[in-house]
Amino acid sequence: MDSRFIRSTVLFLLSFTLIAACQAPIATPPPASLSPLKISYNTWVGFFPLAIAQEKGFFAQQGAQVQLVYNETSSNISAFNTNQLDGVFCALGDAVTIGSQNAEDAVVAMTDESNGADMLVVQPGIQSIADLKGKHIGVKLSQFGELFVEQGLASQGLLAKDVSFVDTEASNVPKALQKQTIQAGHTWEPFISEAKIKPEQILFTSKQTPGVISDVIMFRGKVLRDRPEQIRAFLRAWFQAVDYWQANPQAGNALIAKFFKIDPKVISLEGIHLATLADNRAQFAPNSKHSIAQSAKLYNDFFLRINSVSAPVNIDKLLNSSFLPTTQP
Amino acid sequence: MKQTHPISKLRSKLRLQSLRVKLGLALITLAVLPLLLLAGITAEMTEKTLLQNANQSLYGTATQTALRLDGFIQANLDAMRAATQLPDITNYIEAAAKQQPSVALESKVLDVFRALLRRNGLNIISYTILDRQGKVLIDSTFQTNGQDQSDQDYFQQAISTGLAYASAIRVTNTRQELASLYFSSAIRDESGAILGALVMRYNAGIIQQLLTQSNGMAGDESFAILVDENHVRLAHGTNPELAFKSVVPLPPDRLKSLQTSGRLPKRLPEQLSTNLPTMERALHQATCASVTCPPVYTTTELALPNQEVHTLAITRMQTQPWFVLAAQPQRLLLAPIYAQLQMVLIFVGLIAISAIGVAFIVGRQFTQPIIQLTDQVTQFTAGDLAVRSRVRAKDEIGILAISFNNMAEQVGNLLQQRALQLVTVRQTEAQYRQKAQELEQTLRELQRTQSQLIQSEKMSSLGQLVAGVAHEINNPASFIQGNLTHAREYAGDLLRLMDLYQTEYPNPSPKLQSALDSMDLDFVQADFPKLFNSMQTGSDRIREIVLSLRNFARLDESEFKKVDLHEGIDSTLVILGSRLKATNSRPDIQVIKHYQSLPQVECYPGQLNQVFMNILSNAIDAIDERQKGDDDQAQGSMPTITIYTQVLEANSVAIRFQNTGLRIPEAVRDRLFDPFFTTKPVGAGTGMGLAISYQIITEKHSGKLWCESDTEVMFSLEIPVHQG
Repeated sequence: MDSRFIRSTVLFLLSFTLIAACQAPIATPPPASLSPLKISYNTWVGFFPLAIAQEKGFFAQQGAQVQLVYNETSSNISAFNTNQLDGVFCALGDAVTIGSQNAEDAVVAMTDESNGADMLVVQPGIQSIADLKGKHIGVKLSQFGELFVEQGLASQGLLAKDVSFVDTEASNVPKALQKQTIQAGHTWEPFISEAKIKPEQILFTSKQTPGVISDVIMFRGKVLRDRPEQIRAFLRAWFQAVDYWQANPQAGNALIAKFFKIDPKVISLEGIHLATLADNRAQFAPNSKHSIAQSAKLYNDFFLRINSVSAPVNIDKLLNSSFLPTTQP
Repeated sequence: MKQTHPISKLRSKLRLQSLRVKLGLALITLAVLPLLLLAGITAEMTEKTLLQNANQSLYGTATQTALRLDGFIQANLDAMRAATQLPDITNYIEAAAKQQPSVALESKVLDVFRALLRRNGLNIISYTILDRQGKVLIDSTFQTNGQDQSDQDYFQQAISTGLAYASAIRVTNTRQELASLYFSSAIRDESGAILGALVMRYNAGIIQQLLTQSNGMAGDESFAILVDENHVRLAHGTNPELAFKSVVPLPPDRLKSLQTSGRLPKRLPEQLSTNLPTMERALHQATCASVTCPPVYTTTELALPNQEVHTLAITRMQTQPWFVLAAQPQRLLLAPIYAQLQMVLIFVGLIAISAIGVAFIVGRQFTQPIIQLTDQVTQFTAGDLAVRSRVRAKDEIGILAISFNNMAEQVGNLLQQRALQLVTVRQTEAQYRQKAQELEQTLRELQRTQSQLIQSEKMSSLGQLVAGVAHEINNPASFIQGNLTHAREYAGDLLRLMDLYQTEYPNPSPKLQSALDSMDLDFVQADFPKLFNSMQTGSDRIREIVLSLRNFARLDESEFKKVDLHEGIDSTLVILGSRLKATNSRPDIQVIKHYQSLPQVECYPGQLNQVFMNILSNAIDAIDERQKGDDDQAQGSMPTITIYTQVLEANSVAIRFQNTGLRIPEAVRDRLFDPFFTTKPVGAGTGMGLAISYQIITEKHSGKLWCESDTEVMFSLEIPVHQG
């Protein structure tokens, strides 16, 4: 009885010590991976596969919980910057801006390259770029649109100081044109069709400025660190949707029209090059001739030139291809 | 002895081991209690210090955040002030005031705006120039051109005070909620007259962004919250979705007016509040009139994340009537204490284990000699007097051991002496007992011998008597026997003579006739021969009896003689003849003889007859006993004694006496031949009969005598034909 007492006491104390030693001193907060990825998007043809992924249930199928947030204005960038979003669909130019402020955030995939979808539309009567001299051009300043317009003007020897830039969201450009407060503006579908802008009003498109406008998916550094699997699942679903759309344009268009509440007729892959997984691999490949890194460098130079950033972004850190799916979904 | 002492051994062991337990407990108490006490005090003190430090750290963070926000606002106010002095702007507004707008001036202003936007392309939404009446002359986005904004505070404040002004955060709800912050500054001409105002609309997200920078500043998971004068959150370091939610629900009218003025978004009231009264009280406390408000700390649960308890420090901003709160989950504040306590607990566990270990070893050292000594005492008590303690400790136990040894020595000596005495007494006692047994044996032998002597004397006397009587009877009987033949002859002659007389003298004299009639001569003549026959029979019987008596009385014959055993058996039967006859309780005992022809057997005939006598008279007794008892079987059957004789191969003869008398129980049968053993009533038997018989057969005749009693009782004896 006595030795049993001693034995049980020793056992108790041993287990007591073990428990005390094993107990984590700090209760870890619940893993953030349970909450869905909050991702902002806007009406841009390159982002349309989102609709397919959502409507076809690809996100759920790949195990990604996604909360999509619609934001047409550039305030989505601000929202992303202030922790209100986990991810954002945006232009590479915006990504560079974000990267210059938050070095941890990174681009994980490229969605498309604008190949004519970005347009400079003008008032009727304006025939050439030269005619724009001294005119008001609506463009979102300090963003990719300004570089696009600047490059378009430069193709005809026109400089920024030869025109007046009016800080305008692309969605507002058709309205401003109608009100004649601006004579030209940078915008894209579906706003062009919605404003019933005639083809002759299109002065130039991104076809003339190859490698300037590409769009990307970007995530917060914290999210990349804490929820890599969810991001991988998201990208698998994304590329699944891209492939689906390319394989079934009609069905894809219908899903997109339903999701974005737009006319299916204006939905067209003409004007952009939708980036497949293979394209992404090529774009992210180091030393590639036509790479997303080169586009990013273009913006880095531009922002430095217009004095809108204090320091260039570290492009190698900004572009992170490690989340791309390893196998074709 | 062996069965009892393990228990006492165990008991003593238990008692000694509990000494070990006591020692262990004492050591644990001694080692652990002060440690726990110390840990408790340290934890208390550490907690105090930690909370103090945390409060300081949080207050520092809150202050720093407030300074950052103030700095941001101040910088923008300064920038606005500076921007109003840009010639392109003053030229433009002057021209506008004179109704002389020009494309060139407007273009210049747009360039200025473009340049100003570069400050923060992402967050600055627009620049506008308002004239003295509050009409928008130009908007960098052209969106509000021509609008009347004279009712806006940023216009009124700029115009009325002439100072740069930062507005409250406003929410516009066009396509989606957009929170903005307006900075305004009056534009003056060279004389200082106010011509209008320059307004910058900032995305309020910048405030959120600035606040986010404080995340983690005061330690893990710390963050800041910005709350306005209505206690509505403007920004939240970790949960921006809490923006525009008041700490506690606002009164409906206040809510309404705030919504109207654009201070709150147009959402449902329940979407515009949380319910945290503790935080509300702390905010009230922080709203002090004096310039140097003391720092306010509080501990409260926050709505997000997880209703967890946080420690808060509150400070106020300079440029806006806003509060900056720095918060950190309390579990993180106190984490070092938990870690410390955990360490202490581990130490306590380890110390307790070592204390038990030490107690075990030391207790073993203490108790081992005691257990040894106890074992030795127990052994000693159990009788092992040679046992001595081998404990050689130089302490009290050692002294105890030596004392024990001395005591054991003395007790041992005493016990040894006693044991020796005891052995002597026992030996004497055994000797006496043996002698008594011998005496008893002798007495028994004497008794037997005496009884045998008596018996043999009795038999010998009987023999002599019988022999004498037989002899005496034999002589007169011989006369009768001898003369009887003659008497019969003479009587025949006389009778024939009588017949002759009757024929010769057929007419007797009357006197004679009357004599003849009276004597009934005819009858005498007829009866006389019968009379002789009867006398002959009687005489024969006497001769037979005498022969038997003489035969039986051969007892005295002390030499071996060759005799016919059948003769001896028959003689005995004759002597016992009267006892075989029917009695009241039974019919005649039938004697069935199965005699085989036996050779003459060398023996002491008298002694053998005595044996036959004993066996047969016992048989008759047994039959009588059985008939006397109410044995139903016995009533129906004929009482019989059957005698078998036969020659055995081994040159010996066997005689068996079987009777239908009472069975002999096994227990009785074993003792049947013991001297003085009898089943008969006291005085009815000597108990020597069968004993003597046994002796005669086995000793005198080298034979065997035994008894069987399976279905019927049978005594068998075997004796060799030739002795020697």
